[in-house]
Amino acid sequence: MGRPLDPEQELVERARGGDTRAYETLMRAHEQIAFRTACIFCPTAADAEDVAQDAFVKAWRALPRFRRGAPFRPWLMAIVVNEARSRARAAGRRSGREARAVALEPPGADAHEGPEAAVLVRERSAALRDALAVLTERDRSVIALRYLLDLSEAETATALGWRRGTVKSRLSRALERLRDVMEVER
Amino acid sequence: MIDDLRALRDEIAWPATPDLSGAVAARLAAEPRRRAAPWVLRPAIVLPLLVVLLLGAVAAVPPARTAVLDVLGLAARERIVRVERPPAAPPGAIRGPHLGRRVTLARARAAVDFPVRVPALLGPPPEVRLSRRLPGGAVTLLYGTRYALTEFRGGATPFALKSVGPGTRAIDARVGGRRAIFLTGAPFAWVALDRDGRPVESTARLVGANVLLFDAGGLGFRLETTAGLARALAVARSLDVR
Repeated sequence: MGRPLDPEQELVERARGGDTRAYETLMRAHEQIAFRTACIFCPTAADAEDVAQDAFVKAWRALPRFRRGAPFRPWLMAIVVNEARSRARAAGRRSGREARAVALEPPGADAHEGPEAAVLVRERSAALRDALAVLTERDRSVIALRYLLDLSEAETATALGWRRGTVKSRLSRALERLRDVMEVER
Repeated sequence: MIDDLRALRDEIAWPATPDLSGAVAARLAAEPRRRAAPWVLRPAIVLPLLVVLLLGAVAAVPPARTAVLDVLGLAARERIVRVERPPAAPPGAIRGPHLGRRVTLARARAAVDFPVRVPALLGPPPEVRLSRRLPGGAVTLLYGTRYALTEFRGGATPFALKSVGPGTRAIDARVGGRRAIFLTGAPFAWVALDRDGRPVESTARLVGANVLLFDAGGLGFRLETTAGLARALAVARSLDVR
């Protein structure tokens, strides 16, 4: 006899069997992370919404092939990332530099200003956002998934279709390049 | 830097998450029930089915089964299935859109996370292609219509499946001290499988050239060529892989 399933795995099992209500519950639990992941790769929030929607539909169709007991979130993230990349390719946005992530745009000029220390922190954050925006898609995506969306190393690996070791090495190189960009821009 | 990024995480003004679950549920409601999905002739269904049929054909023919056992689980993490009725002969060209877009060698090297090796025997490639159809990317060095050397990150993720007819011979060889296999004779069908084992339809094609498959250092190599075994081995060995 196998181990009992946790509540999410039960939902996955029901969804695998064609239960759309169970799938809707699963979607609700993961729609924010799916949408934000799409935001990392898409030029506008509307594009990110389309990508996340299509990814959920594809995930539904692929559920019968989902490995029982495997974590659902990274599997879903991988579908979101693949969908976003396919769409970017189809749109001819091969360069990650052109596909700027909407969520990483600096805040508007009307951002509230506070005490000096807070302003410095905001300036540092704005510089970081600018630096992230000029990285390649590959560098930006690994940094964003790992630190901005707080995915674990294993989840990042699954989402990007890389090995864990590759995530480590590419993350390290991406952070170096981020530092370089910030040094240059300073 | 990492602390700064984590601080940034708390500051980012993400766009409001739309009601995806509601929108998708409405889309799914408009679709036929998945469990009732009929055996429509969708490639996603037909291709695995084809694989099953091929395997069935293999099991039914003892000499074919023997041949499969001879070549299964070999280089480049590719699975090879021998079938009685191979597809019709293709033009035999080793070039095609499946190889990806044309890039410079430097660009290809920058785009993948593995070292792209150039066979010393052939020298710098006149043409380089970069494909994203396999996870991690695949780089192909093209030397006219005679050689196409594809290099990709091997491992659990990219698989390929070949259906090899009785007219195709599989010859054991060695490159860099590792087992390699040379396929020659009748054309065979090739399709890459994704990490879930699903055939990637866009990669399905017929191969008419000879192929040398081997892997080394976590990388898979596929040399398609109109040259024979000896020349293919010489080219492969000049990559100096261990």
